[in-house]
Amino acid sequence: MTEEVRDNREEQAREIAGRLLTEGNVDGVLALLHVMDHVVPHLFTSREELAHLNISGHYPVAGVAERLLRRWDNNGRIAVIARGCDERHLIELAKKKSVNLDRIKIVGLACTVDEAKDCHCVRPFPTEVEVGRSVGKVDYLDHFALGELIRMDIAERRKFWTQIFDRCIKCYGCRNVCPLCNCEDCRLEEARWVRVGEIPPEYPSFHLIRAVHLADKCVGCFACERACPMGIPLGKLHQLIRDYLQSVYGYEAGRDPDERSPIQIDVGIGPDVLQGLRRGGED
Amino acid sequence: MNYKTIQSTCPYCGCGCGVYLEVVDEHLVGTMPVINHPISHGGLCIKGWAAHEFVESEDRIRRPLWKRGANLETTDWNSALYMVSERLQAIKQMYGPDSIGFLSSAKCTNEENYLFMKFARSVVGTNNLDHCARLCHAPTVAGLAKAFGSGAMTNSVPELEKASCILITGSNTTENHPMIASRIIKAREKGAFVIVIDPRRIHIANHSDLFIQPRLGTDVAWINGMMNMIFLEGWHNRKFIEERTEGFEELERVFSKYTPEKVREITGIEPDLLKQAARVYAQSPASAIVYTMGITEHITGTDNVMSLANLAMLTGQIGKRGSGINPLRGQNNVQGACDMGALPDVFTGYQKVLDPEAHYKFEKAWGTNLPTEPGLTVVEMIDAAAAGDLKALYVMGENPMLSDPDINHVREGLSNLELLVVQDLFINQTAELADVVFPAQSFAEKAGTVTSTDRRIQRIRKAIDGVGQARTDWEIICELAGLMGAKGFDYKTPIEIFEEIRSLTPSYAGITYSRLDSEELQWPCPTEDHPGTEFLHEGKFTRGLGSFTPVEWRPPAEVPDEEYPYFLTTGRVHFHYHTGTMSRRSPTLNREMASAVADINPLDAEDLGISERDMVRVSSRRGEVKIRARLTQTVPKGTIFIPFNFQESAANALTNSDRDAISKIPEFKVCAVKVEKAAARR
Repeated sequence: MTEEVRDNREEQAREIAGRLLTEGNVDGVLALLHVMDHVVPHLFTSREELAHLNISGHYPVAGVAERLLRRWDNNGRIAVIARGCDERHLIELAKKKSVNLDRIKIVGLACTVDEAKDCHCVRPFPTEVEVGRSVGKVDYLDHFALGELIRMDIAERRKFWTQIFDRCIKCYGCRNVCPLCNCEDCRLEEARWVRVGEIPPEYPSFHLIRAVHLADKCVGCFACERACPMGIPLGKLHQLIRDYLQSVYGYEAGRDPDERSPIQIDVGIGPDVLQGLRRGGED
Repeated sequence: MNYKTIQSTCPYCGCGCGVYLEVVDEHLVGTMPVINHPISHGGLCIKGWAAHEFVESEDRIRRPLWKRGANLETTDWNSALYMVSERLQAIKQMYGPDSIGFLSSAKCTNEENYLFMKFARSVVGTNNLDHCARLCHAPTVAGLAKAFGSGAMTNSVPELEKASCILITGSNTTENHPMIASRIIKAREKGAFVIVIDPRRIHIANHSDLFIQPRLGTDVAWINGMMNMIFLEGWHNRKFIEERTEGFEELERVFSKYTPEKVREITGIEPDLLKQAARVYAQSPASAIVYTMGITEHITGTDNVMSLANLAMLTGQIGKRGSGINPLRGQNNVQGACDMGALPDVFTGYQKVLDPEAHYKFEKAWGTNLPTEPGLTVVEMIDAAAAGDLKALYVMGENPMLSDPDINHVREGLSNLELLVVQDLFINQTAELADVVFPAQSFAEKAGTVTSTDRRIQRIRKAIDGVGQARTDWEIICELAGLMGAKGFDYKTPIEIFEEIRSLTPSYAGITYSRLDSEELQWPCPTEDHPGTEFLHEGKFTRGLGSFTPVEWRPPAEVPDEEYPYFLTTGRVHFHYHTGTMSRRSPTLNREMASAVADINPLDAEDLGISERDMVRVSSRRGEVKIRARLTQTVPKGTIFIPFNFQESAANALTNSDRDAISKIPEFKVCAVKVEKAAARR
């Protein structure tokens, strides 16, 4: 049964991609390509390639879209075959003014129940579904693990996170894989915030800077947790923050490009500005 | 507008992680992890994520160069190739083929190492052929081959998660094999008991169940001591010893001398700690040993390796899933370079030059006469050059001017040559001395196969066209061979070369390019319907019975004295790779670490009046370096650590070239130095 749906989605996706390429209102369709036994992100620019278009893989394609459009400056328009999380990434990127949604045609792809389970997803569908059928709102969060983290008292938490962050080998995989962690000047790379050239990176600055910067942006795709070679539960950390914003402010990142974050985290403020402010205060 | 991703294998360490190279409009713009890769599982270390960054560097050599006066000047391919072919033939004629030496490369593909080997042996006619494995795992190849009949990692990286005890010794795993450390962390989460035995308190010691800090250069002593405890407590595997090994009585005579008190005296290890390690290692259902250069880079390197083999056989902790001896190989294709016979004494698949049958087989296949005696090793070639016996050296993708011990001596040797040919991506410290430099292509510009640490053969694929006029290493070798009148070098693709390799190499015989597209294959893989081998020595060792070799402890060649009162130990850092020719041209990696630091224990620093980040002068009997100090408890009092990755403070100006008698590896891990505060910083 599931297989039937899957096959159907692939055909649907190919058909839509073919139409978009023929009608000529996009320069390419960003989707996944099946090569050998692997699935990779690819920009389809001709109908011939579409036979190998695949939807089973799992790459955060919004980040690729953002990088491509930035590289091609103000030229070009692409379609993206986007799952719910991909669309939410694009919306958050638009809020950051990192992408112009007018240059992107989102082709919404609904995930299957199995795919949603794999990702601990709660919203495995985009706003408008063109490929597949939405399974509706679900809750595949790992509540047991989240509960364990939240139930710890302060001392236990400090011990747990100190130990687990001590595993970090500073691969920056969590940042690199995250479409929303796209600042050109990354604070994590600056010696004045985090000492360079050492593993594990300083606790807690490295991880807390990232957690704070993403607090109102993370859409809960869990790509960071999957990319972490050391098994640090980064996705769960972000989920706890998301839960908090949801419960206190009713805010959910990635829902609507016009919705404003209830907290202001201006990652553009660098130490120079801060120092200036401080000096101003002393004078 | 063009965006594609090409699957390849990371060009840095021997883990063999899967990468996707992102190509936009024919330029490399990024690297992404391969999600379902058996080794890297959708993760990468910082070097892997930055794998594309050096490829299109402005520093790439874009045209052939040759020496005119004191300078390297650009020339064209035909002139450069012609010049090298003429000079090699003239030198061969005048001084004989053994006046020429070849350094192959653990960064090049299997196909290229094979061709370089074929070129040295069949076109030039010498076995003076070696590569940097000599400086890392030559003792492994020698020691494990003696014990088991095969000198490679016995298990697979994914299998480490199935081990119930992992003993890490002389491996700074998180820094140098990060994606293998990832497996060890996961194994521990699943309940494996992790023991770290290392003179430095390295990162993974924080994530172990038992950390033991022996004195530098005392490995044979603690391993013998551990075996003695195991035997006296009856924790050894009697059945395994009886059925699968030979030479136990002599082993027992030696290890029984290593009483806990004697071992403490030599190593500084408390008997209780060692006993705990001995008990858990011997009694766990599946124990794995993981080691690297901390074991091998000693004058007792082969002894150390054989001692670990003794320990594994005594307890029967080998030949099972998740249990065995795992030397982690350093370079992305150092396993492959060894497999391809880029060594002075073996053809592909470790078929011995001295074996008449193998010799005949390769003469017949190549249609030439081949030299019969094993040739010179890396360090011996440098010595021969200095002595005037070696006249020409052809270096493909290596940098002995930074990687070899006692650099001043290396410079003396290289400067004494009549012809130094370097084939590389960048002008490194060795290329600066070259007469001719051929610009070669990187992993991202060519196709081929590489063999990672767990005997896993994987493909690299061309993502972009060659930078400038750079050519692939295999094409350069073929052209040169053609110019020198050799037959059998007219390959059109790497596949053709690979087909020849597998026709001559039983352990690779079942591997094909098309199988590699969809299968995970580890050698030995003798036939096309063979699934490859996950772990070695199940039921029977490659050589039949496992061989115990009793070993007595000997001190390092140079130990601290009044004049040079500190131990120096050298190694690698997480953010750079070996001599830095690639990693230091990567903005991401350079931002993390732009220069070297020497690790000094705070107690020593206090004695010496040194503060954090002070410049210090570290000197040995062979040279001196100036370097910034980092005060850290990672090193014990009395020991300094300097990474060898940085040319401006080259650890190998200090190291001792005294070497292991069997494997010829120099003692990079131990020498004596003095440390002084350098002039105050401005």
